[in-house]
Amino acid sequence: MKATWGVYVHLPWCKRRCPYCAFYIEADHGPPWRRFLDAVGRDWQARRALFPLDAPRTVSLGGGTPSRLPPEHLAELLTPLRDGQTVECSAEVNPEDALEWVPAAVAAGVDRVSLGVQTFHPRHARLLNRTCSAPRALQVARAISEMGVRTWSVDLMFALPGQTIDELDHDLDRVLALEAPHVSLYGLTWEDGTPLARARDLGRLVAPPDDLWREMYDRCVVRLESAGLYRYEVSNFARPGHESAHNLLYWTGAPYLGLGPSAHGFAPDGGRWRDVADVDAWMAGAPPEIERPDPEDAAKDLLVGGLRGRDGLRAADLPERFGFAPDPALVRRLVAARLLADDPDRLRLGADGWPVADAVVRALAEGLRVSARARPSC
Amino acid sequence: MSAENVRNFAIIAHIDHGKSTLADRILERTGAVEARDMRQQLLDSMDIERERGITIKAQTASIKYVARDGKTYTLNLIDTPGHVDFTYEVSRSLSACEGAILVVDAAQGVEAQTLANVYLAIEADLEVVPVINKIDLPSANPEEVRRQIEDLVGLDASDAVLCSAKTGVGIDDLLEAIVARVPAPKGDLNAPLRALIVDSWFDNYVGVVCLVRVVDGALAIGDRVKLMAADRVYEVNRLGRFTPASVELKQLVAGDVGFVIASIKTIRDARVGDTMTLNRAPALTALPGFREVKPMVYSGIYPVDSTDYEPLRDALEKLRLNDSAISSDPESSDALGLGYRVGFLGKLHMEVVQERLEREFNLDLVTTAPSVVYRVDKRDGTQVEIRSPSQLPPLQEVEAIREPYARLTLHCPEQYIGVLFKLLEERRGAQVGFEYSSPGRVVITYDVPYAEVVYDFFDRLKSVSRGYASMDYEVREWRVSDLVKVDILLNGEMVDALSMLCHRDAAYHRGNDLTRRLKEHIPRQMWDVAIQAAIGSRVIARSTVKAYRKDVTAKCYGGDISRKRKLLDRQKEGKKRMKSVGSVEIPQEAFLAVLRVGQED
Repeated sequence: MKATWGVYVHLPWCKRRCPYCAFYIEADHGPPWRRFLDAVGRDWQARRALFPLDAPRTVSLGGGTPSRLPPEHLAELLTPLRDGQTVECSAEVNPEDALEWVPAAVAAGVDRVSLGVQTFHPRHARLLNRTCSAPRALQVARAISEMGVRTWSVDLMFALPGQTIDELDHDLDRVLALEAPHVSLYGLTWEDGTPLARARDLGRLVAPPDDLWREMYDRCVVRLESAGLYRYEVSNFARPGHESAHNLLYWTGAPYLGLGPSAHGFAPDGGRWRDVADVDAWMAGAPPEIERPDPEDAAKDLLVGGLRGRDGLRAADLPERFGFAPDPALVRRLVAARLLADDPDRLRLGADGWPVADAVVRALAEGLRVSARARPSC
Repeated sequence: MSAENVRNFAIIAHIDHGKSTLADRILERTGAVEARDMRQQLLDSMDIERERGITIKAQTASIKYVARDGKTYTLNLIDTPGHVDFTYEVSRSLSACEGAILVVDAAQGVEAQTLANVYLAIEADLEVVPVINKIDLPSANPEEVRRQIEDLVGLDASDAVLCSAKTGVGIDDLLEAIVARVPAPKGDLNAPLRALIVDSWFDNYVGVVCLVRVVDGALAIGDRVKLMAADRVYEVNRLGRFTPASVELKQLVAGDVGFVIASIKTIRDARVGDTMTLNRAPALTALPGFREVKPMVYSGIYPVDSTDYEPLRDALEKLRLNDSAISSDPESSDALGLGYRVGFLGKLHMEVVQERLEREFNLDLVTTAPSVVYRVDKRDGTQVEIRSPSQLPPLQEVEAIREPYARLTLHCPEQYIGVLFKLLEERRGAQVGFEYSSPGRVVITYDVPYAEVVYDFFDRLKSVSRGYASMDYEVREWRVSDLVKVDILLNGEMVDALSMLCHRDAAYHRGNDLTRRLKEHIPRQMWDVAIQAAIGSRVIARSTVKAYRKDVTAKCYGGDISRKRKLLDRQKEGKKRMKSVGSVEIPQEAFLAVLRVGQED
């Protein structure tokens, strides 16, 4: 099999923290870019040998706000990581930085950008600490198409506190008007410890009820799909050929090499690691936390990631690679309830499975049993 | 030492009124236990007792006390359990005593649970010494409590002892009061041996240990003793007394309280209330009051994980070694798999046993709603006993169903008569007697279906009477009742463990109530769950738990995968007490929802 793997770099600095964000970030007071890049290089050298000789298929810059990285450092960061075999080099971009940053990024090899718009509605945008107005977003979107990126994406959030279906429809209108070839659609997640979750716990904000969430999700799916953006993952929609190649690696259980504070990695030998969520400690060489999932946990990991994608996972992978298989009676029940698709070869979500994908994963993971067809992995 | 200098006494107290602390203080004051060795609340040795504040197994201590008159006395403190399920055990403990200390909290005053035991003590002809405890509390009001003891209990409280078990104030006065007011035992040293078994338990090293009160005669190592009710003979290997540490002796004589070890293999042969006598010179009559204790309430106990069936069997066997009131028979349920039908004295006993199984044996269990023992007259003229609704024979074979009726005796201050009558009528009760026991206090006698008593009657009684009513009961007869079996179906599959027997007039109401309660207890699942109540094939009530509308995390990228897997494991842990029946997961609480049917929320 052609060795397929990706690289993720976590650039932790942001101008300010968004109130819903639970990622590891640092406030941008002039980051020590030199030391940061040296540390990225150090870990890249140390970890590269764990992965196949072939260059990574994808490189992804996330954060934090990768577009805080001064353009003059981009080439230094990216050049060692990628080569001609790399099919995608993507970066998350703050719309405010885009006009200036994206051309430099393209020059350094970035061919896909995702714009963190989230919402166009002024009140909700304020709550989320987002300041990109609709005209500005349209301007950025038009510009991006002409800046030479291969493809691009827009992030949109729904199920915001107090949001109505009409307001969501307006957001969808505007997103569709951008004619983005890819949309990431996220129901707002109230992560523990974020200012948003605290406001909810204090009773200042109210999360929408599940029924409204469902109505909104279903509405988004219908509208995006009728605009030609098909759902290839629970939260991701694309025109054919514009899927995120990097994220697909996560959803197919492929290995990835993480770099930067709080970055996760998954080695081809099954080991997982997480670098310390502290940029100073990380730059000083603090070792990552390492985990070696046993075969049952590895099988669950494959379910967790694999079921989210449109193609699901190969049913035979679980017994062949890990020696576990889901309970056939449970699978039959899930198929009958249209939570799983009626597909003997693949475990994949059925028509009603997407909005409750976690419940399906949970049921399958709990129903895993040692399989008679177990074969050692090769 | 002659019996003249012996005092046998029990302590009667409401939970939290300081019985255990007071016992500790007495032991400490008499030097039986060094202060530094004191475990808190020494006499309540089991963890569960400690947490629930209920003494389940009676324990005892013999202590030496040099009184102000210069003489040395042996004070035998006999501990008593404190709940209505254990009335019989309490009565046996009390009958081993000549006196009892009634402990009342100086701030809380007299409470109901105490009263039942005080009446048992008075009936057993014990000298009751009132003690007002916790006088160190700022809210203490000893004069008011003194008045309550006189009005509510009917005891002369003019010379009640005032003390604080916490600070130690008044403990000497209490010990003097015991010496002065509790009579010495009156047994005849020269009469044939009669020793009352007050308690017995199984010890892994020595077998059964009997705690006895020697009423007449004497008992020595090597004696062959006969247990009169069990009609078996054993040789005494060891005997002695607890101080509370065990001290071995050569003999026990009339008036003494101590332990006897006689190679008895099972506590079923050394039942509480039995009389021990000498085989070579037996007493003509046993001591009065022995009663065979029979389980009155049955409940199914099932392991959540079917591989725990054998550990459950072993655990029940171990518990039975120490608790002759538990019975257990294998049972299988379509819904719950293999388990046991376990018999208990009452609901508290059931809760205690379940908790011990889970805690001491680390088992995850599903317990079904308790059922009383019904008797079914069959058309072929035979009668069968059924211990769960699912044992009911096919209806075409049933002539009549009889349910047990209990005669309840309730003591209460007269202002609560109204609420008590209302409660008793709700429970299908019929009044049998009513009289004033003293001015302002009444004794009410009612016949009530026992099924209406076992579940929560005692709790309701306490709540409607603000704790002032006390209760005793005895199951006397089985009467024909118009009972029907209401079954529960989840997505079309009958869950036998949720079936209930109830009076026909109440069936619709209860069926509705149960489906509604189940809807509250069964969490949303991946598919709709239809809940139906049916009599035979006729559906009488239904409700639906709708499927999840949303159960998905928005983002799942590199770092989220192992995080989500760990979350799965935590969620699984949280679901441990769920039982899968067909396609439906049912939490433990749902099986108990049957209990609350017909009650207000």
